[in-house]
Amino acid sequence: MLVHLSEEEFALLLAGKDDEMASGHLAICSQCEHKLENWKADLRQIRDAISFSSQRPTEYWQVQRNAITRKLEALPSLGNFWNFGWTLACYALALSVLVLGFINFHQTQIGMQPKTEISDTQLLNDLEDHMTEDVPDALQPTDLLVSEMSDTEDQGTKIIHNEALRKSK
Amino acid sequence: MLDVFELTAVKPQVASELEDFDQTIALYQQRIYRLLLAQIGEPDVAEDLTQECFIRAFQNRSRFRGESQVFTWLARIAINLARDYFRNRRLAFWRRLSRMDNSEEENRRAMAVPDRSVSPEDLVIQREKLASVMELVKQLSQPQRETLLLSVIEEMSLDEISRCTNRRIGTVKTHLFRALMNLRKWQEGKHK
Repeated sequence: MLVHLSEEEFALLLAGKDDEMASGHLAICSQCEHKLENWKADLRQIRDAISFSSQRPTEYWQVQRNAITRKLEALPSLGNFWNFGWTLACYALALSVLVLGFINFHQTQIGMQPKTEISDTQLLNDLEDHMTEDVPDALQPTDLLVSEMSDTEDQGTKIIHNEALRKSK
Repeated sequence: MLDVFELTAVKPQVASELEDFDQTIALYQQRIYRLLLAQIGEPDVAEDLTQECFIRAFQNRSRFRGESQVFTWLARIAINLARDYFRNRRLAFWRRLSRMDNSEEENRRAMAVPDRSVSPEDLVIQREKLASVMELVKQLSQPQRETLLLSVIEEMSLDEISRCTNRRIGTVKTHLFRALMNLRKWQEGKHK
């Protein structure tokens, strides 16, 4: 008994699936072949309806072409864009160099102290005064502590020295 | 006949000329319009998107390497534009719903001048035919619709559809199979 193709098999055939069994069946079954032609006719109807709906006179297409060309002409070209970009970049670079130069110059001006002329004699006198001047009040206890410590150290050293002499004798 | 894209591979400087590109538009504008009309079902929108498709093609002409046919490449741009359109329309719907005012698109349509190159009778018949087909086609999901229309209207091979829609051939086959099954089911339902 001849088993006819199912709806799925028809759809698969139309969807481009290679099915030798189905193709073989179609070759011998006029009923299925007719059914497949019906499917194709339905699809052709869709195509024809859309093709018919999209038909326009020649003038229409000409007008559309002109509209596209006008829009394309109005577009800024890529070359112009790059030229503009490079010019802008160069200006920005020049400006940044100027700004950095100005900032650097300004900082150098602030950092530099005016030179003062002073004689060697005056410099020595200043140094001597600085060395001989009294210790500030806040450091007085520290000064006392240091002197006491140095006295204690001297006495300790003497005792150790004397003991060493005695032992050697 | 060589067009601007085939020339791109040979002489890029020639391709940059708008005069050459005009030939490409003349060759493919009807097919691209038909493809977009089938996808969207609105002649005004299809017209705008056809123009946009060629503008984008011209702007990106250096990317065309001649690996596929020119029409396949243009159809891919058109499919992407149609996808963007549906995406934006969904967004516009929510925007409109939230603001309750007319969108820019609606205002533009209201101001549009009617096309007088087609007689009113023809226009009515055209719109009716389109509406009857779109009634069926619009029930399909977007991937199914794209695949079916490229296969049926443009008679593209599965490989070409795969390039156009940026999907694998197996996926294309599945979408086409499902689209055909759904279409059959709805058509039978209509006849009953």
